[in-house]
Amino acid sequence: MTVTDLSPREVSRWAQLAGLPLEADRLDLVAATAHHIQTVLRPLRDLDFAETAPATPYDPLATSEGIFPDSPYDTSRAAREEGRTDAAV
Amino acid sequence: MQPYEPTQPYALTLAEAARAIAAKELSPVELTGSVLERIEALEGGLGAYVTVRAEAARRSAAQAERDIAAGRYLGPLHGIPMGLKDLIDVEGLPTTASSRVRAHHTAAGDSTVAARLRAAGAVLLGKTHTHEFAYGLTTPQTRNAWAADRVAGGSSGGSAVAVAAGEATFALGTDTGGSIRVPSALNGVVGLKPTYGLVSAHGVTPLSWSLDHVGPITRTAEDAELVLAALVGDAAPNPMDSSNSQMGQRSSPLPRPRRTDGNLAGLRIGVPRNYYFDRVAPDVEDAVRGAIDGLRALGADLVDIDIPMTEYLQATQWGLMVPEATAFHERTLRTSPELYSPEVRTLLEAGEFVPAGDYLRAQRSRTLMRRAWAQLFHEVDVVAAPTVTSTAARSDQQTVEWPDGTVESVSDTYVRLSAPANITGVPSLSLPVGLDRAGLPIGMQLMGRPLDEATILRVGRAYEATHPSDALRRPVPASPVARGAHPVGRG
Repeated sequence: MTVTDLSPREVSRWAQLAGLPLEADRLDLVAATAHHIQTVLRPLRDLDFAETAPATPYDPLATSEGIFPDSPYDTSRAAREEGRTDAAV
Repeated sequence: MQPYEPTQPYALTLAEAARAIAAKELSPVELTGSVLERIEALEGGLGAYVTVRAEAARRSAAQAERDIAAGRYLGPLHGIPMGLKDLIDVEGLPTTASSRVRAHHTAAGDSTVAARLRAAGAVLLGKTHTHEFAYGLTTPQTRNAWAADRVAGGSSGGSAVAVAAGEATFALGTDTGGSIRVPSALNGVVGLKPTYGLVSAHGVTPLSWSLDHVGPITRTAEDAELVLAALVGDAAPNPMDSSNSQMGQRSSPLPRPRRTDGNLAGLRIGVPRNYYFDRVAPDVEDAVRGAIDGLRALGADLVDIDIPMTEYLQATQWGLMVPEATAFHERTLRTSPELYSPEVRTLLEAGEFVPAGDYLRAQRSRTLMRRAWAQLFHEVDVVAAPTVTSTAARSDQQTVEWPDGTVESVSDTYVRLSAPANITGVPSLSLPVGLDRAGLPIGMQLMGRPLDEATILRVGRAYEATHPSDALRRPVPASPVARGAHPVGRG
């Protein structure tokens, strides 16, 4: 895959669509920074992910928020209590 | 100039102070008073704190003293003065994130970590500076504890400098790409980034939800272990209980050292062949390899390892962090963008142009890295490496040039070696292992399996026991003291 750089004019257009106020004198700087970010991200396009799922999990128990603190299905807590050391990120 | 006086209470480690308090040889009032005097003497030159709550801290210390005298001893953090990075909510206090955007903020409640430290009896001295909203690696408001013309490192620069200079007995920081470990390394103190999710980030202003961690900055690995126990809600060891021969012993589910005798026989320590020693300052490499040899002398087996997927590390870190940071700031970028510093504002605005596809690639890459690092930890128990490629840069320095001709921004070089532990979520402990030829501190990081903080802390303690780092904990701030130029006395 290839990446096409955003021009200041395109940045202006996308900023309008996103409701982001960007004065004309900021367009060059923001476009250059966005270009640099895209340059850094580019290697990810070379990876063959096959069936790989994103690392972000949806947690219906909202474990980190403690909404269901007594649930027997709180696997992260159970893992800690068992002292498991191979827990995933 | 205020020389570091090792006999003063402010110079004690947390464990030393806790033992003295438990033995009634030191009062929390005396300890807190000593640290506040240190703040008053140095803060004008260091700028570690956003706010110091001197009177409130004295009142907390006096209450701790009364409680301990009455037999209500809460454990090793009881009566210990500490600082919190100013991203961490404390009920009724502003959480400024060192930003004008938060000029009128007041926290409605305690963050989980603040509540746990309060319950453990710790004494809050104040809130420490962060690089604005943790989006940077230098903390420009704060000066390095060892050399005023050098950066503090960041983003938890205030916390690391406060601990290094005796302005706090311990502090908390946050770490998204290295923000606990980098300033710890650059200021000669210990920083622990725990396993992702082990310590609650509730009530802590996020930079990037996928990568944020909260953890302690201390003077020793033993101290880090004591603070971690309080942060995860573990039953802390009671030094007044004579059945505990070691402060670190616990009877709780928190992972704990299986051995504390300093013998590392049988432990497999991975030494990276690639990545972690590439484009690293010679003094840093020498000091870290020397420290690793020290671990071998303690019985550890050194194993050469190859770090996987290194060509995707920076892309994955940025692919997660950049759009998440922009998402958090979406509203204020539209209502008051002029309140951000120019550098942070531009990064946040440019983050609006990262497509969802890039973000998802970064999340999927993270899955692949997790698998690859899990394989790595079948071969070794710990990975040892430099924390940062180089020591503290001059405050006006923008880039680092390497012998191979490559030029790297200071921020990029500071996160390069620390970010992998944020992506994979593995725990990482940075500890001081020497000074470069300019007299600036060097850090080594020890990474372990997820939720195996016990092993890296054990290795850290073993190293410290055989390499007394007293000299490393004695920075002498070089800047002249400007009394009265800091906010001591507020609150």
